[in-house]
Amino acid sequence: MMRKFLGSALAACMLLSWSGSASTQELTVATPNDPSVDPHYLYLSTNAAYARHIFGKLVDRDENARIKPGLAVSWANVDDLTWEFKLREGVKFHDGSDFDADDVIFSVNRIPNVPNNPASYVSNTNMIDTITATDPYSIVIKTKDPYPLLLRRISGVSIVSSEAVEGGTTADFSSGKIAVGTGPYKFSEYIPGDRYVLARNEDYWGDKPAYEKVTFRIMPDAASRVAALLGGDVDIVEGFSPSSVETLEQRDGFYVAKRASARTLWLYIDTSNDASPFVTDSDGNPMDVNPLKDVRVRQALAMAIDRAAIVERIMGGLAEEANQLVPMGWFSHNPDIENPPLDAEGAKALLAEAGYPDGFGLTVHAPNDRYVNDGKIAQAVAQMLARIGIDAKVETMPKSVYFGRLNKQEFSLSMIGWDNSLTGSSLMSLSAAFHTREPDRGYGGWNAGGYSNAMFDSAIESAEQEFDMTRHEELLNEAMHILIQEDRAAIPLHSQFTILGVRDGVDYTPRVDEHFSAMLAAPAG
Amino acid sequence: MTNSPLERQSPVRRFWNEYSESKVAAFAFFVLCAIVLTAFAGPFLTIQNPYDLAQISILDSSMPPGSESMDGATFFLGTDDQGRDLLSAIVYGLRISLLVGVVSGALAVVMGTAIGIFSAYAGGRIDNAIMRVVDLFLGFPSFLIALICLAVLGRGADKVVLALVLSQWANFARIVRGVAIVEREKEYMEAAKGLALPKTRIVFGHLLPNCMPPLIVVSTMNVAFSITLEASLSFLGVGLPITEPSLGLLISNGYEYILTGKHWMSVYPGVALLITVASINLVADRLRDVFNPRLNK
Repeated sequence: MMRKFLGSALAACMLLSWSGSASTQELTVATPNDPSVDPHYLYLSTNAAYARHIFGKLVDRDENARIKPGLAVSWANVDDLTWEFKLREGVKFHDGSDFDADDVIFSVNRIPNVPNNPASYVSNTNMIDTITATDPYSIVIKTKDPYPLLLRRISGVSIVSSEAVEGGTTADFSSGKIAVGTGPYKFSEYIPGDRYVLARNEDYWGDKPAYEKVTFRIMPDAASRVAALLGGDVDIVEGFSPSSVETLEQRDGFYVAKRASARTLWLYIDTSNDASPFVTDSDGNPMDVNPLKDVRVRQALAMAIDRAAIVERIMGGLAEEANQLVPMGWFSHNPDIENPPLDAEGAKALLAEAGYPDGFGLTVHAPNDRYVNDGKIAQAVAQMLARIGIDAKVETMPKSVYFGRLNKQEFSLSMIGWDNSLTGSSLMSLSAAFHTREPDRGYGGWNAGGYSNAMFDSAIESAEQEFDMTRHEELLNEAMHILIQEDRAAIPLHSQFTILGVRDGVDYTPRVDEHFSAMLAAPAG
Repeated sequence: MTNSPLERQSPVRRFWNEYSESKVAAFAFFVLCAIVLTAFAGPFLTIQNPYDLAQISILDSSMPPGSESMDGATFFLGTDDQGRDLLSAIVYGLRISLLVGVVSGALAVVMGTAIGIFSAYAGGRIDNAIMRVVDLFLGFPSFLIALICLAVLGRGADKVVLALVLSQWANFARIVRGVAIVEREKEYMEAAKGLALPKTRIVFGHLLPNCMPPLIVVSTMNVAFSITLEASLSFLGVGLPITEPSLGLLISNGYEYILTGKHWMSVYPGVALLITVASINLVADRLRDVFNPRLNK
């Protein structure tokens, strides 16, 4: 009996010490995000990041958001409407079947037809008029209108196996039954809310990743993720809190990987509802007018926001103040746009002029598990609004609830963070989040403020069809100017940094789009 | 039965003498009184109203204990990550915690007692049916019930109270029924029935008072439990709005900084919670001893 006990204790010790010394072949990542295994379901950048592991694309974006060949080896823009692609030959899906043009056509056609999809990838395919195969390894895409950014758009289209996926559902992806792609990793196991395990695809056509097995541990709590890293349970922590950066940098055995990202946080303003859901008068009673429709009120809100304080006190300096929806230095950043000066008295005067000398009640909505310090930023914004006489409240909720409600325009002032790397410009955010909602044409799919301005819309539509990149940028800059400087229809806050905590012994360089990629991790040395 | 300390003729003095035989319990009682007084006098004592967004500033955030604010006031316990003075926030947090604890405790006692007594007095099938419902509620952990309620109801102090009542009334119903069933069979009840007194008088005038001693002990303990439960719910981010943090939410906010050396953000609210709950429990423990006839000399 005693011997048996000793034996099992010894075995347990060995097991513990073995799992403690992280093997060079295995990578464990603590992440706050549950994946959608179906690469065409729920378009969030966290899901796009997961999809890159299992699925390939015709063209992909590298870690600096530049276009690089993927399943297409070459392409040509024959005329304004026609694009030809040569596909990579000899590529195998994880189930051993061959990749060819049928899979591309199947994937493009599947995207608009995923049932009950809360956020579709259709904005990446709806400019496509026809897609045809001229032979098994050549396809021709014709767009409805001239569309210079087609390559960037289809870099957001994951290619699934037509044979495996035909007739399958999103749930079949989650169970792993049809999670069949051509990517560097294969599906191995997914336990919702707990872990997502991938195994290296030994037949991958490109550079093979360094780690044989990657385990994503899903841990929504930031402090627990840090503790898991310090305790040696995980190698990398995604969504590392700025408040813990200093601590980690002082510790031996760990380092912080950080990089200014393409994600800008801003606040949507409900500019269209006649009575906004979370606006009350100064006594807390519902109002039958929506003060946010008045540009003077929006100007006052913009004048209340102290971005320097947010960057310094909440983000620990790891963010950059924003005055528009793309970070400085990016294509289509309009240098003529400025934030109004921070001026509480001026803001109060504007509110009085608009007919609200006593302010009004307004709730700031934000997720509490999506962006760096999202809940704290919302509270800080509310503080700043309180200073100009607005009775501000804050409500935060998990992203699973938040984004559904946001996109139904259920909020009055609400936070979002937009990654600009897909188009590498302001085009995607402007056309999805502020163009008048026109689902058939793929516009305004995220227009959660109900903004609608004909001049803005036409600038976006022209920009989208403009092949001359100088003119293209001018049009985007014009649209941004209308939206921010003239209409103040959104309040830019800051561009965040992507921050990861990493164990020494693992090399990791973040991507500019914040997508975590196990392919970029390698044993040090 | 005749020397029950709750009968009107027995003076408070005698009760206190017996209670204060335990010095620890007496001390806990004074601590508790001090906490309650501080909580209620809070708005006159603190340097700011931490729930008024216009009075706090993130420029004052994460300052260590003893720092001075921009306008010269001193943050004795430092500030949290939104720039709230922690001392003020703790005092206001105590107000909420005590209020939620006492109100939900009282409502749960009233509801549980009414149902328990009715069940015991009615007996038979009705008793059986009611007790199965009670079993159903007791079958789930009270934390789970509260969590489900808040997920459905949303945020706010009133909703937290409702959630706590729903998760706790069944306990009281079970206890009161147990006591009442024993009492029901005693001679004084037969005498009351024999005198053909009205049912309400029998129940409220005779049955209820004799069920009181265990009820007082359990409900006191329950206040401590409610406070802890509310703190746990807040810690998880359900319950009260984030701009009006109770103790649990203050601890939760500071928890993120515990590894960064800014320990004051969660340690001080934690200590406040600890002292409050411990003193209530000590008082309840002593009450149980005082009311327990077997321990009486």
